[in-house]
Amino acid sequence: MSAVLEGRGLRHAYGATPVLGGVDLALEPGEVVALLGPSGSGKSTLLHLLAGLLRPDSGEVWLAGERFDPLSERRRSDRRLRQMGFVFQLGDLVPELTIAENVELPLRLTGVRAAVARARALAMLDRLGVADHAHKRVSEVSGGQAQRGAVARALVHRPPVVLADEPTGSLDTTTGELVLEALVDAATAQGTAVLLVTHEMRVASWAHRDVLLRDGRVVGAAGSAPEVATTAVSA
Amino acid sequence: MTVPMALLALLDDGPSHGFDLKRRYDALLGQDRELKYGQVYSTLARLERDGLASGVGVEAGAGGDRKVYAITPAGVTELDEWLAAPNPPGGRPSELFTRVVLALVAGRPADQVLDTHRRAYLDRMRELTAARRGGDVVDRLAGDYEIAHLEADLRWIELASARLGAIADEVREVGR
Repeated sequence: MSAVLEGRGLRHAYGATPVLGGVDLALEPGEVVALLGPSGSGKSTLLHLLAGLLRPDSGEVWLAGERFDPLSERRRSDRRLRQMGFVFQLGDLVPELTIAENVELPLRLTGVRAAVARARALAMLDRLGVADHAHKRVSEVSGGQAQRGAVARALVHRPPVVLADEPTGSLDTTTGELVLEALVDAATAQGTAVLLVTHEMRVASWAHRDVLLRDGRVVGAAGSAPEVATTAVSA
Repeated sequence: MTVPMALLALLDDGPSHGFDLKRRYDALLGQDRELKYGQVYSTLARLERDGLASGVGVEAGAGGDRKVYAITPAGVTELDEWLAAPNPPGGRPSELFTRVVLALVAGRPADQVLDTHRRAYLDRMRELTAARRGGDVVDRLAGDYEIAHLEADLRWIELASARLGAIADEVREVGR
């Protein structure tokens, strides 16, 4: 299997301060990988490099078989929209829209017709167990429901990869586990790889394997990719 | 202490015999440590001697007659008192703590001790997270319990890792 997202020898410094000292990381289709490390270990920088929001000082980022980091900002942005999904700590849904309208966004922005986008959004919300709240605004649902909406938005366009940055950081343990379970199951089922960035071991235990970052270097990795063959994802 | 109290609690639910008590104990608390028949019968004999349970009859079973036990009023009091009293917090750190201190004293790489344990504990946590999704309600409760304890250990590992450089010399000094 070939990686859907890969960082090779990534180095980055903010001014004279080195943050990443040569990191290799590859995500296979359908696998969930936890990126673990204490504050200041370089997790966020690595995430930004992989997402194409920052350019590495040296090293390469490959997305779905193509070199990603040297592309223009506009082309990187377009790739991000089509080939990546994002889940952040605080949901980040658009408050003026309903949950369903939020989930439709990645589809509408890439030219999918309204009726088709609506149907796919509702199907994804159903899969994540929040179909009953599809037509409510963000302020009308609980934190856990909103976060499952954010997961639906990240997955609805079937991207090869989802980057989830502390996706349960604002939730209590029980609610957080429901969100993680929904994320892991739905992503694995459709062959989307997930990079789960967290400083919490309990959250990391939902991943198939983990990569531990300390002082800008990978210091440990364990676990194995799921054995079940996953279906190929169209980019 | 737990086995006699567990049998009292099961008898509090209604009279029963050793064979049935063992089966129910294993289903609830046997996770990876099932009760041996010898222990069931010796415990029941002790409970009867101490007046906490008493034989109330005999039931025919596949392998012969089975003595049926019931909890006594003294047994109920004993069970209530045990449930009401707190289990003293553990206090003493685990062997992991001992190993880290000894590695520091012996001038061995304590960070490796921490890394090895982080690895092992995280692997175990992943196993439990996966297993918990399949098990029954008691398995899940037991899994939650172990995960919470692993989480505490892992948190300590992170704290100790972050402070190792600063405390190594001091730890050696304390042991002189």
